[in-house]
Amino acid sequence: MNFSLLFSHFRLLTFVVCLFFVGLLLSIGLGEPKSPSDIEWFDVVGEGGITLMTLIWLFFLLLSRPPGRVTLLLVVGLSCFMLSSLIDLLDEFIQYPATMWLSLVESIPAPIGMCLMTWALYQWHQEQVVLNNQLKRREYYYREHTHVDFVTQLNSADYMRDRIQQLLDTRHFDFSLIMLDIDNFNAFNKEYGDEDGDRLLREVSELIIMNIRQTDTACRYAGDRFIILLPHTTNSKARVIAKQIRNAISHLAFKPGQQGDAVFHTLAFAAESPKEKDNTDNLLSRINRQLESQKQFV
Amino acid sequence: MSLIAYRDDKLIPAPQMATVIYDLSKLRGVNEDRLLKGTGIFVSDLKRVDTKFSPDQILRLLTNYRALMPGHNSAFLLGHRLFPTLNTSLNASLIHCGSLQHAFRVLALVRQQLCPFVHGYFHKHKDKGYFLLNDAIGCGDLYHYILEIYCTAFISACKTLVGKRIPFSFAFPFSRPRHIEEYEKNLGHRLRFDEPILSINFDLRYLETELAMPSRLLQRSAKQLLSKNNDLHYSFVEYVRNLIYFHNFNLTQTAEKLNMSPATLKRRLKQHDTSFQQLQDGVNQQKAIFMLRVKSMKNEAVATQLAFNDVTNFRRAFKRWTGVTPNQLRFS
Repeated sequence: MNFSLLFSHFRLLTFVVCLFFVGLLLSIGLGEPKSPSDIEWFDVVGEGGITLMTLIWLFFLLLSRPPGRVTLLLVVGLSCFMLSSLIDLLDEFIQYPATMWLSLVESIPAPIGMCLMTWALYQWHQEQVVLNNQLKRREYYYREHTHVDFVTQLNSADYMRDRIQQLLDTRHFDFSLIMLDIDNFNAFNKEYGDEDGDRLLREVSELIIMNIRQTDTACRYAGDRFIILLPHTTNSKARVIAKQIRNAISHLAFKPGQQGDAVFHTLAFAAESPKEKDNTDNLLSRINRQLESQKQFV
Repeated sequence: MSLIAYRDDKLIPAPQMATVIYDLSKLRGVNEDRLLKGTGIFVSDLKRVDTKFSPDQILRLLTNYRALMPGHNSAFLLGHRLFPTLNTSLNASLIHCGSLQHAFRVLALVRQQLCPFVHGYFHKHKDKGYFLLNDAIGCGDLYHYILEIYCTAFISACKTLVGKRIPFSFAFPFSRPRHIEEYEKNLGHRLRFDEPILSINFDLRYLETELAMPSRLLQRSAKQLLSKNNDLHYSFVEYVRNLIYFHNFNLTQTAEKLNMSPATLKRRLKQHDTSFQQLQDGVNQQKAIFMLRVKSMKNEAVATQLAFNDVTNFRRAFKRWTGVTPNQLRFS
């Protein structure tokens, strides 16, 4: 797990902890302990479970979201709910004097928290629409975070294979694929080191993303080989787009190291479209073969 | 007698493998304590160029590396970094060869240095050359992974030497892997899986290919330096296999040649994850399959070549090695 976001929420974290102790101290300070025979253990397990789960949700919320308005609303809402469930749990152990205002504290925060969270979830939806837009051209109607490549943050070959299979299964044969391969990338890697190699891959993938259309999806295939899915596109149109990408990358003046001189790159590409009886494997092996025939041989 | 390297002999210089593995895992954010755990290798060892590790240590390091690296490409990534090495005379002995044929001959001499885990036999048939590859040290479960590393290193080194790509074909004895894209990208599209033996083959005309930086003098001096430093060894399993392969030695003869008792030889082989019987069967199996499959020889001829008394015995032995009869293999 990555804990870096957790520490950026210092104030929210303090708020949650304080609220937890306020609930605890209020209950203990104002009530009398019940005798053990009066305790309903079944209720304790149920209500304790709710409190515990709410705390776990809060933890993951703080762990996964960067600071911001939506995060604030979610945390405050969930904390209110947590306070109610905590007091509810504690009154299994503690007897309050009758006509005590504490029973109000038990029932009021929960509905307020629920309302806040409902509003926050709507905001979250709006935020997600924006984020999905940012991720356009990186995914194709399906999200699977375990397929995201470590270096380029593009999806991997596995992801692309699944998407192609899906299109073939639903008999959508009107798409094209482009495969791109940077020339002499390994030589570059050996000369300038892996760190610059990774950075080059990242910058090339950004350039690819910039040069494809809103409906296209780029993935990292393997090493310095990329693959692009172009739905509703003919082979000749795909070739035009591939040439545009090649053109863009040939103008990328990549500066290795801190202040290195520009190194330029060329790339080879292949474009394929599926035939009626194709499966994913032979479509991909055809495009690989085509790409290799483009590469320089002895 | 030649120098023999056992799996616990510390002969592999740190920069050759261990430092490269360390660097790559750093780059991918792998925790260094977990990488080095159980290997007996310390970061301070890696900082000195003269430290050497045993194949055993490297195998344990590779086990950790394989488990900790994200993605499917850790073997291929490593393969690309293995040549050129930090040993300049080793590099020069290959880089300054005149042709690919020359380079392959030198490779046979310096292979233990470059690639202590895999060794091969070269065969020619008609217009094709074949490298039949074998486990040189007893790699166990890691063998498959090590093949990915060294096949990539081989392709990458040939590209470095020649300056262009040469179309090699690969036949692997395992089924098509899930991460086929890495094979296609790093080894090329000429791949076959579920083959009975492991081989790399190519058109013999490529042997004439000129290397990018030929120099007879530099190449010779580099080779002299290497033999002066006593850097040339055989891996133990490879050495025993060679005795069986070229001289058809039995257990007693092999033990005698190695100056040890048959019991010690057996124990030593066990330490390397194998046995004499296993090696003998492996050699015969590889030879038989090559003769049947590639040379299309008749069962009788193969049986004679392998010194079987009659075809029935050969057929029975073949069935024991491979699970199928010679005819089934030929027509599969």
